[in-house]
Amino acid sequence: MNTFRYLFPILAALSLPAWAASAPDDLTEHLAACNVCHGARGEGATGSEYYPHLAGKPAGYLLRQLRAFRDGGRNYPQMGWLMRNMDDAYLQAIAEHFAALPPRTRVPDAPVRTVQPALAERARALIEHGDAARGLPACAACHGADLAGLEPAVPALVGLPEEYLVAQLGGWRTGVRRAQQPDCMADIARKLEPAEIRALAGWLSAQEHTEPHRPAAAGSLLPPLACAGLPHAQQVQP
Amino acid sequence: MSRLRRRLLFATIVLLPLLLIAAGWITLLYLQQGGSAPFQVPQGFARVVPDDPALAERGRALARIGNCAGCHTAHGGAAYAGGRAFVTPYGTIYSSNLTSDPQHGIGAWSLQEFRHAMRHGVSRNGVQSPVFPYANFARLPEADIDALFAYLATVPAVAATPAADRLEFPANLPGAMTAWRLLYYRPDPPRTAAPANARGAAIVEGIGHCAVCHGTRGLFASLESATRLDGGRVLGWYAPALNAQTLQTYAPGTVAAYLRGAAVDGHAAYGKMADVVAQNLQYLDAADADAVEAYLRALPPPAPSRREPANWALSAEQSARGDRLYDENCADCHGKDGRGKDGKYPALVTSSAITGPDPVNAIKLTLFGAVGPATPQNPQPYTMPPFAQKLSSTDVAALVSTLRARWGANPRPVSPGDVDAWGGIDER
Repeated sequence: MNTFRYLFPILAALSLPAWAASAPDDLTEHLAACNVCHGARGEGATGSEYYPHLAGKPAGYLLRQLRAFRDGGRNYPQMGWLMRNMDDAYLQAIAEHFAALPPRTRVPDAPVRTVQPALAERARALIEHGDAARGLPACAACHGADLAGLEPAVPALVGLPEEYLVAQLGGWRTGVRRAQQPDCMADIARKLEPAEIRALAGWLSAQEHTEPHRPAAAGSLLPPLACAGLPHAQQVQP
Repeated sequence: MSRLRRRLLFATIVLLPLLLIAAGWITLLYLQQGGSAPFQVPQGFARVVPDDPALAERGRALARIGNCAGCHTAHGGAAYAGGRAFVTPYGTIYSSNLTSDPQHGIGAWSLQEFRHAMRHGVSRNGVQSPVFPYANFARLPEADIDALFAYLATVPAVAATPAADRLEFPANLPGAMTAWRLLYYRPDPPRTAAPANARGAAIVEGIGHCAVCHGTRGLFASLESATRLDGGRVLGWYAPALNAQTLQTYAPGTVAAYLRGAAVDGHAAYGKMADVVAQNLQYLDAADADAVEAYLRALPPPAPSRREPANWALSAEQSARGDRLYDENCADCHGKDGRGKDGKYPALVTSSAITGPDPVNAIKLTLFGAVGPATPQNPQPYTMPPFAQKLSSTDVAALVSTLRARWGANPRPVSPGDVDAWGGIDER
């Protein structure tokens, strides 16, 4: 304890230059274009049918998405239009900006969405257990038991609008959304039935954390599938 | 006199003068587009590529300023292998393969043939469509053409022939490109003396081919001149007129800085020009950018129109709506007085989108937002939000019309139909 008492001012002094250096890099004023759809602090637009939140998602995930909008792996003309003349360095800074913001939590007065019990059960079975017979891992195996994501590149699944989730899983099925190979989410989406996609999207969009949940630390989960740029169980235990 | 003879005599008296007039007219057109020289593609010259790395490096820099790869590369394709589609009102035209492949590219061309193609738009592949800006490349100093030849010889061969053009009537008729040349191609007269600003002229009139967008087009995409920059709508955007008058609101040095990718007082390139700065002009060295600015500032404005300016008036409802929308959505960044803020957000009172003759840029920027290109001069550009989700076509029409009436030259008000027709977003 005594050691800490002496160490603390030293640590604080050491961390001060880092803080001072990062302050001028605050991109809030630069990124006014993002607010319209993604909220003033990346928390998502309240009541939006479509636009996802960005705050607190892993920076590695956000960077990959920004590059995909620019280079063609994700096709959304408005995003492509804004990204088209940005370089990787700026996209990295934007990704880090949103990753550092507090993760989305339930809006206090938001209406509670209900999901039909049969659909909710189907969704929860896939999320917690997957379906081994079809080679479908549990969603929670990669996205975390609290579905808040995993550093450095697996996003949170809760708090996303239903239509957005349907569009993403549908996009993977049809090849409109593409990630680097191996594109594990494309494989998973193609194994899901359309009714399951609707059930998952409906249930997930009704879930929100009341306290901010950060993505799980890198390496704290070993995803069972090979996904681009992530360590996975088979790699570690051949 | 038999009937036959009478008819022949009549035909001779009436038709012969008509035939002579037609022949004379075609001869005149033929001479005006440059006579027979453009059609005589040099043959029999050996291909000699100069072994001169410095020359090739100079060619590489020129090709980057001139966006050669931008046109001659398909999206996601191999560099310079051609195949990028140009959708025009006259059909779809695919750019050619410029790699060093002897069969599919230009790897078998002599320097003489390359010079000829650059100056006249005619090669062993025939008369090229005017999508290829040979009217501008004709203004390039020969040393620059030779440098481009040396550089292109170093581009790795790609054995692929781009898709054949799919032209529409009348461009699909045999000899259509030759007929277009006769009717519309008027090479600028050769210089009698070296221009005062040779470097600026070589970039603006030559490799930069600025007139392709900033020129005013007439019938069948014709340009009166490869050197006039009187402004025009191209690919859905308005490229403003560039001359002493239109640039006078920008302080000395700011045009050069803008071209190299800086955002002076928040004025960065947007729309198609953002692509041009990001891909090409940010690589201008400082002296060249200064030369371009000096050249543009020395261009005389076009003669004023003799037409009476129309006296448009906005409806009170449109104007009140526009004022309210500006205060709610725009004034935070652009200022209540439209003079911008803190050097971060640009002034609107001097913006060509507001003061220029064509409202299309203001419509597109309002709908889809804007970002300047990220460059070393402006690594983290400020961004303008899109408003397509928030504002209706009626709102955008009222807003754009109000601002253009407030700070512009009393232009025709924009209708919601204009917003719908012109507001499309660009996709790659």
